[in-house]
Amino acid sequence: MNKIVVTDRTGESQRFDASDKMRILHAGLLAGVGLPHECGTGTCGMCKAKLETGEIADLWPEAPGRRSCRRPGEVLLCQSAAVNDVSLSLRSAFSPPLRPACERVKGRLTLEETLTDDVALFRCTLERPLVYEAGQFALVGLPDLSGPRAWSMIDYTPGAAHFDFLLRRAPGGGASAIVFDTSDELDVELIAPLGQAIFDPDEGRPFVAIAGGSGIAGMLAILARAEAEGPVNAGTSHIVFGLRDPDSAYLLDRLDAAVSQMNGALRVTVAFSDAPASALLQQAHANLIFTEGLAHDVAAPIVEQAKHGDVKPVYFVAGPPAMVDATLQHLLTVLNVAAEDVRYDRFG
Amino acid sequence: MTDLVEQDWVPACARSEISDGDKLEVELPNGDFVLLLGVNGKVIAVCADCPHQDTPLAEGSLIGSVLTCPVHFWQWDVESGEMLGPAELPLPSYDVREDAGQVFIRPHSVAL
Repeated sequence: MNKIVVTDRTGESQRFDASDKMRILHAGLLAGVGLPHECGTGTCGMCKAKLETGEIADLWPEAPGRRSCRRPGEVLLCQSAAVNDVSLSLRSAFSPPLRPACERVKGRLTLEETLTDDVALFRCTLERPLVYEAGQFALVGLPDLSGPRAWSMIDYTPGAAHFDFLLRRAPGGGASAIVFDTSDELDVELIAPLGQAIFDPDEGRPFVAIAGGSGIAGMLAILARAEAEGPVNAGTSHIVFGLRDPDSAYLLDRLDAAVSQMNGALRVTVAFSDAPASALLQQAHANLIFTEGLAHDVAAPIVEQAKHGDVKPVYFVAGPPAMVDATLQHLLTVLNVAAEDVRYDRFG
Repeated sequence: MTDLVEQDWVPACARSEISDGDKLEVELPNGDFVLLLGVNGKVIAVCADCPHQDTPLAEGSLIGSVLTCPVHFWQWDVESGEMLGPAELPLPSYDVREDAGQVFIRPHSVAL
């Protein structure tokens, strides 16, 4: 084990151990240290720190998040493993420790349901139950693949030792090829839960969730909690689900049933960017509203109406990074939604 | 500004590189990263990293005089220096001078 010392801009220091096989960010989070981070997989650049003493192995020198490392000695903690004892400094302050606490837990991944040619639900069965909040995600390590992937839990089943991930087969292989092309169970290792885009019914606020493609996964966990626990009488919640075309649609049955179950407290709009919904599709999902356009454009009048409601909604945004960025920009600068009302996790 | 000696100022960019709404990150000789912003016909210079979690603000948005961090949406009116939205810390700024088509910045005595 290597000794890691991280000092933030206020001078506060935190210490933890990390093996030479463990990424420093993950070791710190598992030790309860509030290291700044967002995606945990090398994309966002939020976990940068300056190496003061010691030696690290850079596990992904081409990580997109390295664009934020502009000063000498700066590294991404999520892509750094300690070679020996290491000290690092942050230009930011420590974040509060994760709640619920982050754990490392083993699991097995199996195909649960094929939804389209390139989208499927995979069941993750854990060695023990995991405590997490609706909307959070897991870092999932796969065999023979360097570095974990960030996947949102699609269910909210506190105390259960299994949940599903919604995965899309990505062009070019990588993690999704391993998962989709393996017919047997896959042993996986999770670091979870992570993520700040959490729905808490005790806030007593409705939500407006804008999701693109497989970004609907975390929104379904939020929906599951809302179905089970309210909020009661807080106004109507909305989901805007952006998809390319009707042929690539999935999980509409589940959304249709949720609208029915929530008895007027939920409206779901499905926005196809490239082609209209057929009359047959609309008849088959009579509780859903179908329209054409990009998710953030379709969401605009819904947001305008919701923000003038009696109770201010919480806004959730999820999907591919470009869609998330465009939607956040639209919410904040065009629709003038208050920044503190918007929650998202940017990974992909 | 006329009482400042010439060597207090360092050249940052050509004035023509910054129009209203533009953001341009430059590195000063002391290692500071500075974000130059085009606002209402002027050039304003601020620290290039968010004081919250050190996010590069060049990836944020500038609408009028309001600069928004792309991660947690801390906002500032960079003309007045006022903190907006969820911002909890001020955004350090730099003195700016324009001369002969060039933009000059006066670095802080201690690098930010």
